[in-house]
Amino acid sequence: MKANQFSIKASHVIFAVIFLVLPFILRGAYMHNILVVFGIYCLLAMSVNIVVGYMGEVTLGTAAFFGIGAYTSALLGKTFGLSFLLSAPCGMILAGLVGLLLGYITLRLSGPYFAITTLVFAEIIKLISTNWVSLTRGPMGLTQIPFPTFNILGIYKFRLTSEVQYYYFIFILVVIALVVINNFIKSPSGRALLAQRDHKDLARSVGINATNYRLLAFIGSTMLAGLAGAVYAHHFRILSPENLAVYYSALPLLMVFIGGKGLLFGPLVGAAIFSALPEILRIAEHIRMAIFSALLIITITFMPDGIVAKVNGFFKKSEARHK
Amino acid sequence: MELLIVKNLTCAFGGVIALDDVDFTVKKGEIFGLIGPNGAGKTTCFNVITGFYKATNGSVRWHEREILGSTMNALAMGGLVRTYQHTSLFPTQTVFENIMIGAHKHAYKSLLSHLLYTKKLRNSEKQLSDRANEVLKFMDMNADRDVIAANLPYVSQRRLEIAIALVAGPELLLLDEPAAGMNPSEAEQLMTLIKEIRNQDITVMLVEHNMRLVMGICDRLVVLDHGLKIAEGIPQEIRNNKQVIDVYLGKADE
Repeated sequence: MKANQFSIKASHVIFAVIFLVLPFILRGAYMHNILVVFGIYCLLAMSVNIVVGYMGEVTLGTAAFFGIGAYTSALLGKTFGLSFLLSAPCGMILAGLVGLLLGYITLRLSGPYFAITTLVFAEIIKLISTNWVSLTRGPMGLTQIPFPTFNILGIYKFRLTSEVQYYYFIFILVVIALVVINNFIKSPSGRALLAQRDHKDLARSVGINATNYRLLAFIGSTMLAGLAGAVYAHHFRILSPENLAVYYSALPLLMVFIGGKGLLFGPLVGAAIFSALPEILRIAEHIRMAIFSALLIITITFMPDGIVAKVNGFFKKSEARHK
Repeated sequence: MELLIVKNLTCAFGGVIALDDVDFTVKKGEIFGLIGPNGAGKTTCFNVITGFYKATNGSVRWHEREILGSTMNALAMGGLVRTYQHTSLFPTQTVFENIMIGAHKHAYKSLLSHLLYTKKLRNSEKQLSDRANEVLKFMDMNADRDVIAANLPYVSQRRLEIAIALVAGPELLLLDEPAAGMNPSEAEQLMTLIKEIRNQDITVMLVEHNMRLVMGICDRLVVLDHGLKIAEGIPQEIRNNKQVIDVYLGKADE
């Protein structure tokens, strides 16, 4: 029996257990901070994976939506005292709307043209955030962004007080995102999206409106990036236009390529590597980017589909041998 | 009943006139052949009808409606499905998955149900799966259902292409050189298949070079040469048409 829903396989349970137990293995505020960063990176990587893995395009615009989600949630929290449960979805919706705009612009583009357009668009958004000083305080940035507060039906109000709590909250968000993405990929829409990725003309010939599904996927991706931004904003509690720099577009891209594109857990593995790496490389801070690049080159050479794909390959081969 | 009416169809690429004022009609229930020497414009004609190329001039009427300028997916949804000259599959997916994609037209399309995997979707997917299995049975490909498309032998791949087109629910099926690369016995099986497809109430139009196949199953033919229509009629007439014979100069397969 093939269960379509997020079927609880052994590997999923193992992953979940590792996630849940991590704060107890890596103790202390410092480590817990890294875990929160890991959670945020998971959301970012999953966002990029939708475009790179499932849509079949390279996006360099993630930072813009990350920033839109972050600033929106931060400003709503600061100005109107909205709880995270309201401000973050607003950030996601705005990121989705701007994503619709960029999606429309890139409707007939693909490959390098698509990538460059997303890059330029993101830079424009960054310029807007730098110069719209009355809204964003420009280069001075936003400070004293409220802690993540929750306000359930006006009755139950609380605030997350530690990194560990925030980490578990992000874990819930990641799980929800995984379930929704998995449902989507196994659905007719997901099939259509993958079909247009693999053979656009054939997909069209059987009635698939490739453009629609691409737009849909892109908006989903930008909304997820917006969520990552909102989560970031209420953790670090300061924002600046630097949070919309290409770095935040390129990094999740690396996570997806190295971890494994088009797979459910690929981006998570990539996120883990890239949250751990800066710490491991703390001594070699100045050659950090060189090491990232080296990692990318090694991946492309020896595991072009990413780490998780390579590992899956090992399991399949041993499965075949045992049959 | 006249299903597809092509009138004055012209398609020019710069100075090259690939189709020059071509007229023909495809009647419902027939097997219609589009033949001609290499470069005659047969595939261009297919491409224009199915929205792959833009026509310079002319009209194509489908069920009394003008369809020139329609998108490829809109045409497919309307019952006009084609196969391609060059092997076109979803290579990384299994045979069954390929056919499930082909059945997209019949899938339950609500996005919300897709994100939440609702019961309605589950039921619809079961129906889709049944439909895919029917086509697999019809094409006698059930044994290969879990084979990755890229790993299939050539002829099976060609048959899979036809299976994908069939499950997309065509009223008119356009086959672009379905017998390419087939030996005589494989082509013979293809002839049987096409006749069986026609028996399923599907009108078939094909571009083919294999004369034995064309003369064997087509009810009517139209002959193109250098973008011009030079003959139209039943195989018997075409076979004896002097112009057609000249144009082919005995280049025919048989």
